[in-house]
Amino acid sequence: MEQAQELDPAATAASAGVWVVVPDYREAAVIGEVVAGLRQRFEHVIVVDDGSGDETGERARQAGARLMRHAVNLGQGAALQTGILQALRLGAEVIVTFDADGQHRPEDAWRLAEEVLSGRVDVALGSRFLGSTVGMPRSRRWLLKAAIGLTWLLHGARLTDAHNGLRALSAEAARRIRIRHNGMAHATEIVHQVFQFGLRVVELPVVIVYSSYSLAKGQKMSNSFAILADLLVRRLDR
Amino acid sequence: MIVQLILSALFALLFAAGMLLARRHRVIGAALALASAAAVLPVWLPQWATRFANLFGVGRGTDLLLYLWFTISVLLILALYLRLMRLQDQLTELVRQVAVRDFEQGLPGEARR
Repeated sequence: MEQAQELDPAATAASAGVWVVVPDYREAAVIGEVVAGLRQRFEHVIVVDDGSGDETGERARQAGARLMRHAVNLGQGAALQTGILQALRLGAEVIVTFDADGQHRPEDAWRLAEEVLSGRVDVALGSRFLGSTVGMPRSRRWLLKAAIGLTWLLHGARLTDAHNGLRALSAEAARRIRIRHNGMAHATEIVHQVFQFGLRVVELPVVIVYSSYSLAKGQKMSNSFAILADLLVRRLDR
Repeated sequence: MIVQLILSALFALLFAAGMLLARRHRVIGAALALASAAAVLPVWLPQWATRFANLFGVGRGTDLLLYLWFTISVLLILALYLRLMRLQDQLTELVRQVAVRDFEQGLPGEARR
């Protein structure tokens, strides 16, 4: 395994039980930077290359991540679940989920992890509405507000930000939560299970950096209808 | 006569499909079988179709057929969709197990062509 260059021994020692899981689909342009940033604070970073078919995985590995690879593209939810399962098998105490496109900050990830490590909560969710955002367009804001309203309607859960990819889970919480929605609906699914299992949850402010790069790759309006349809149809089947 | 035979064969097939489907998705399968069976009647007895349709509050026999056809199509699509979802779940499990195995054997880079 190749080592990242700038590993801070003091910081990584504190994060020994923390595993960061990064679902990654075709983020070759930024994944190296993202992993390198994480590796300054976290010893264990798993990147799940979700069937990108390009050099994404290789870049992640060169930057110091442990690499898992889906043979075909399944979706972000599936990649998360794969990475979480592996982290649990490797003895993770706390699992942090972190987006590959560079919109999250490692220091926020560490604060969420600390909150769970302290034992006060089982789940810490990052909230961009408690924190600050850089360059969020108004349409994106309304879309997210709608998603929050939907979460409230479906689960009675009052959150300020239901669809943030940055979260920390205790091993116990990660074991109980099972992501079945392969696509983007997993965010709603995770929140639902958190409340269903009565896990102790806290929302902490995080900064989301909206770059033109992450915006181009992020959720689109049409996607949210697909998410809604996905959630509803799945309910029919069981 | 030819059209009646073709349609009957088609509905018989749909009926069989509904019965098979009922093993997995009871409601959808049964509804499909029922709708297919009902659809045969107006094919052979068009003069009864309108009277039959009136029973259900539908004005014309052809309209009743149209509704039945629509119902059958939607149910079939729904059943197919659920089937696809199930396949997707199985594929996910398979891909995940391969990913885990590769990881543990230390060859996640091997998938690169």
